[in-house]
Amino acid sequence: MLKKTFRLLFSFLFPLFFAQKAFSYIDEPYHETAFIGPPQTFYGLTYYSYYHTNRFWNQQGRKLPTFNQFRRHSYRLDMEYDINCRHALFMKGGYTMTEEQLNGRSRGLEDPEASWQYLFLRQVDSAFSGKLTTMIPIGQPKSSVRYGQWGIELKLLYSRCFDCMRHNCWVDTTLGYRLYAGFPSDQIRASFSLGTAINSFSWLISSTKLYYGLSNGDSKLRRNNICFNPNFRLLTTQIQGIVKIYEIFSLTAGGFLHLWGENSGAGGGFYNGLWIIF
Amino acid sequence: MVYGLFFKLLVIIFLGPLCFSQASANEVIPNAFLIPDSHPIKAQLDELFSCSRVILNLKTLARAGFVFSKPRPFTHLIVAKHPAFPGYLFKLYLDAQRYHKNKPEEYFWMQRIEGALLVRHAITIYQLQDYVKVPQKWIYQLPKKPKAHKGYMTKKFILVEEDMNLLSDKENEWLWSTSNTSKEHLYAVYLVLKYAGLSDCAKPDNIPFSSDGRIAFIDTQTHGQEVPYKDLESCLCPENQNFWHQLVFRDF
Repeated sequence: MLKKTFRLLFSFLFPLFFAQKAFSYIDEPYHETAFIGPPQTFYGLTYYSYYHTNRFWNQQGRKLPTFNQFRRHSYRLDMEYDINCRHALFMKGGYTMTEEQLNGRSRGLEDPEASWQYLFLRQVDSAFSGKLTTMIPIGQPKSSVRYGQWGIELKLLYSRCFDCMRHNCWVDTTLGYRLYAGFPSDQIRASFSLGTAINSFSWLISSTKLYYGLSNGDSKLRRNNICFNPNFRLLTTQIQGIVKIYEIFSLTAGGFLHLWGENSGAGGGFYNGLWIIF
Repeated sequence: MVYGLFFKLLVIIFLGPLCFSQASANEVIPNAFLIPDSHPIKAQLDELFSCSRVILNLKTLARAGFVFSKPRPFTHLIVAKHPAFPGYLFKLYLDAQRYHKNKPEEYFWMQRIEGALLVRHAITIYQLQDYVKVPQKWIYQLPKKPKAHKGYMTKKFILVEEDMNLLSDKENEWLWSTSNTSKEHLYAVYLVLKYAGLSDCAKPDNIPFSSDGRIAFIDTQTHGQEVPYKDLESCLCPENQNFWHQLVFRDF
């Protein structure tokens, strides 16, 4: 009986179990959810992300041309393991290649991130969690690729499921504080996601994310007006679809757009990837 | 003249640390490196760069009359010429470009001038004027106005140097690969490379032939380092390869 109940709950909340990923990287598929489970479940997401821009927002939020075509190709891997109903571990990493008309090419590994999420409160249709993330420097700072700095992030997550026009829907909200040791600046990060199950094998998720730097970063000469600026702010939105193609495999694809920023690139891009869940 | 140059070099080498700082966010440029007010093109440069923000991007650079190549592969710097300044080359970074290696542009201009001084000193003491040469270089400080918009990485200095009237890449490659490169030329190149430690100059691209038959040392940024002599050997004809091998391994 308990097994049957759990299975029913799992199938209802299945799409949410995709969404456990830390979205500390910018322009990545996915949103975060407070729900955890089922126990001893592994989630893996491998995806490709493309970003392009020829405009940026300066420190005053004024949109200006870069006079420098910027393209970024990222290949990433996100992993999650739910230990039990309350604890989950996450690990993510990636490789990025950028091409710029005036600054040439830059490529390298992104700083990996390791996270632990703890479920404080769980009800049938809502959950409240906390998450601790560590940013691990894999090398020296590299323009447009990584900060190369240690950092930690504390985040609170709240999620709720509801029914809308006979579709299973959910909303995820997060609020966090990311702390670096001077370079780059500390950041307040927040997100809001709305998802819906179109049918039993496909889902649609829309997310809006805010990265709000507190302008206390030491820049020296490591300025970059498109990405990895020490003091940046960015508001982005994205929409993605997930389609289950096999029991343990699902495909995901989506697009994102930078809506507003300071010391950050405008423009947008797309991503596509493969889920494996077992 | 020789003693004057020798003395100047001594001052810069031994008193250099007192005259200017090493790489830092705000480089202090010695007056000797700046283009003097009495220089024939100084006033014209001031007039040209005061009219508009010439180095904002490639379009503004072209609009000001400069003819330039694509940014260089590793340094990303732009090499330009201007019909109003015959006999001179300009090396610069645009406001739309990031700081190379997170250092201000004047750091690299000073490195190039120091390298050029070392080459000139080697030419003088070894009497190599008939075979090799190096351009005179100056740093030009851009007028404070007009400024670039906030958000761009404003550059304050560009490098002005003499045009060495180089041969084309094809002609240069051909000359290096044949016996037209004399043993005297090779010996002169070897002495300069060894004296100045120009690690990036052991390749024909950076030591091209000019129209007067001399080899020009045009890339003097990286100096005081170990020179990969073997890199040049593969570009030479077999006879010159043997001679170069003897030079390098027997200190001829």
